[in-house]
Amino acid sequence: MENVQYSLCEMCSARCPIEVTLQDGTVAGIFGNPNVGSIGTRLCAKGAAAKWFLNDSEKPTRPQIRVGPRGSGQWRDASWDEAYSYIAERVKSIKDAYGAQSLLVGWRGSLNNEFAQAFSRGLGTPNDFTHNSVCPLSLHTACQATLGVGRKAIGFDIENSKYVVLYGRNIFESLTVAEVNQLMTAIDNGVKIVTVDPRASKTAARSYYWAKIRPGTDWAFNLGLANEIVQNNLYDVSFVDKWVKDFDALRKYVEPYTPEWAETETDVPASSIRKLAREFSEAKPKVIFHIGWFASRYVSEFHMRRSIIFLNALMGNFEVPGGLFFKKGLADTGRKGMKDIAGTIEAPKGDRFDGIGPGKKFPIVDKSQGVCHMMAEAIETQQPYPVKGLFIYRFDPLYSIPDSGALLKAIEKLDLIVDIDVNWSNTAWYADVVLPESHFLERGDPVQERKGLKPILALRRQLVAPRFDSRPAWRIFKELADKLGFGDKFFYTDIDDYNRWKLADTGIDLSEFDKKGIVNLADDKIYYDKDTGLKFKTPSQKIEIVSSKMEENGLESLPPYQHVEVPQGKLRLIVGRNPLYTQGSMSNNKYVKEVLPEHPVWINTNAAAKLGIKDGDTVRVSSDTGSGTTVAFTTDGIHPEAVFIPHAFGKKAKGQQYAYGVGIADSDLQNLTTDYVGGSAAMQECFVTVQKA
Amino acid sequence: MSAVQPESETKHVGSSDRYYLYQDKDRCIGCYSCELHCKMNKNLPIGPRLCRIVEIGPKVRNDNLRADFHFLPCFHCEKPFCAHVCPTGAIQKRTKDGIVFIENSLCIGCKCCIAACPWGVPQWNPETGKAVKCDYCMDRVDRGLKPACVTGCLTQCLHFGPVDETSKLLRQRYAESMDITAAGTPGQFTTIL
Repeated sequence: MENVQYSLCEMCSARCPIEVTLQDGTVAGIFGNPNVGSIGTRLCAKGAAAKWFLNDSEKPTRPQIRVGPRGSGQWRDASWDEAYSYIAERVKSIKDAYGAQSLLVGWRGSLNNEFAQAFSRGLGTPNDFTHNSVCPLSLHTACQATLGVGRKAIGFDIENSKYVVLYGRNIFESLTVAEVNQLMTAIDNGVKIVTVDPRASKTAARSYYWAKIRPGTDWAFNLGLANEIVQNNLYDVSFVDKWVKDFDALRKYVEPYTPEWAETETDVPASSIRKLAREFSEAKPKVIFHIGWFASRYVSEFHMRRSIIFLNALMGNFEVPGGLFFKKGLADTGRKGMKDIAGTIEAPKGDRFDGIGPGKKFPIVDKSQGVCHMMAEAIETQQPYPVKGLFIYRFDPLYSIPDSGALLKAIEKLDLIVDIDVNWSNTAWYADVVLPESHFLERGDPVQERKGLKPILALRRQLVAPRFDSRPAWRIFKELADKLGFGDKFFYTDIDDYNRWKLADTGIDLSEFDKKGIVNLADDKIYYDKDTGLKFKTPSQKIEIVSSKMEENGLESLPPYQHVEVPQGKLRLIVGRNPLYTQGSMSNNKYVKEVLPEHPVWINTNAAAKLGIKDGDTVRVSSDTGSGTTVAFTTDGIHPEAVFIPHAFGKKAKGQQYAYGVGIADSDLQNLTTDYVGGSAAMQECFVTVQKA
Repeated sequence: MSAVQPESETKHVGSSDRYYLYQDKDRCIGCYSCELHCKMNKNLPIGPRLCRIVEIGPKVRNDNLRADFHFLPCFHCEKPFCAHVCPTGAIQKRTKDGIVFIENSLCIGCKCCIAACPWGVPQWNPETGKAVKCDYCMDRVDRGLKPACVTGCLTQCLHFGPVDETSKLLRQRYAESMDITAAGTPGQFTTIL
């Protein structure tokens, strides 16, 4: 018998709503959820391949306890209770000897954040962290310092815009179904996409303009644009008067950064910058300078992201069709918000392992994000105190954090590594205990609030029974808490019970998800009043050019631009995504691999010729940190200073035969450099040589 | 000869309600969702790829950038080479809609069809030892659905329907492209700044 069910995909972090057809209880097909307008039946290749991922046996299939050396792949099967007891015993001895703060709990952002965070709080450690410092953190910090809200509070009305400027935000390869469709609709409506990227991504190839920019100089490009816009009064004067604090400081700041200056730094002609400034001004406010997503590229990342926000402010594009908007949620539809278990447990106080806090290394970074890449330093230096235990939930520090070699050396010093994951991540492979989480079609998760102009709630539901002895996150954290003596804090009985509690104040019943998999919260798009209702949460309630938060913490709001250079004889390694592999978490899918088996390094044709490298040659890419071998793709579609490799390859867990050792892992080559203002790792401050292998 | 011929018994042959799967290349972003949806829908092993995206580019010429993604399914020919050479009659053409399909029980795995098709459409299934090809997901079509590649296509660049819908669409598009007041259309060359 065939029946149709709804859930949420999780082949990547986009978590698109899906429709799953079950044939006699097994998954026959997966498409987009047609009840969600921005999705329709569309679903990317990864989402389609989720069906294979479900059938894949190369996952941890039952709890594992390490018996050989770390990383040897020598495990013994354990019962859940045995695994929990093993963990509890070691946690107790670590806590007794070093205190609760010596335990770290880290996770990749997901619908289960609240369980991981509640678990961390229950453990009594102040050291919880997300993967965000190797992803969007500097952007998040920039938004907080400038707009008073985090990056996720801001949305983009792409469909109705006339210009969309993308700084490496590779919408047609780093896919979310909704955003692809918004941009496609915008193209139908005549949008002009401007892609600023050293590489001819698939997004660049569908753009109107491609600024083949010198890598690392987006900030200079923006300063040149801002100069032209401000000097020639091409901005929205009334918006700036009303909503921008310290505009005169911006005017003065951008004065030296003429388009001609920008050309020398960026390789984008001054005439193009002047032309763009005029086109943008003509089209404003329907111009979007996309603030981006991944923002862990350069030490100046924070200031580059701020410059994007400034350009948006100059367009006066907040809360207008075709511009930026504050994402609306339950509260904007006259409902109370959802509850969350972590909110019921007091956050432990004390110094953090990662140096977040006033007067410390990261004075303005949001501690709810954490700075995961400080882990190795904290372990090695034992500052501010010894770190001895690590719980990792579906995050792969050994793959995602630059200089994976140094991190591997550091975590060898831990007394306990517990990894909870669906996959054999690199970190799971090096852990002491692995607790297998069920596949996303085999489990339920907390209700998701998808904020936007027309917000919805969406629900991941368990559609099939787990094939292996895996468990859902809500259960694993609850049972771990039980064993560790704080099970009372995990008050729910199962996920439906939890979600009923979560929804209790909203007036929405769990059964309302049955029909469509989602609950629409608004019939029409919700806009705040552009003149009176913009909800900037800075102290001035305006967009802050001079940031109160920064000034209070002794940080310069408008520091001089730092010239960018590539050392003689080197090339800059840049990274990105392709549409089949977004994250390392799904790189072991054999059907995806069939379609895209090779992951070449892109190198400019002329740069390659100088090195005697021809298209298809096997080459060795080396940095001071590490090296790897792959084939060369020579092309004029990349700036001569850059070489590009896609993320998600060079995996080291031998439990994954399709991913193991295929391609180069960016984190093996990247040195660990930090944007100390925004908090992100600066992954593209990485210089390499390329030689024929 | 009169332009309008009297209807004959063979009216179905080549009639205009034949299906066609048209790829609007200007909308394709090379995401490969078509290939994976096809593969998963047919529960195929590694090896056969019933539709395929072939990437050409990115290429830079003068101040322009171009990348193309060619979608290659079966064309469901009116006179299919594959059916013509099939010794057992396993490859058949449905009279009602022209879909060319393989009757699995009749295929002996001789591979004649693979050699005969100029576009490399029939594929080898190593699990069954038989040929396999795109049949426009005729089980789905018979239930009023579209082929899996079309349903899942991320940008809706794949259009499935009677062949005259495609010609209508293309004529309309051509006419619209002559509107000089229209803003930038997709698929044109990207200008490199």
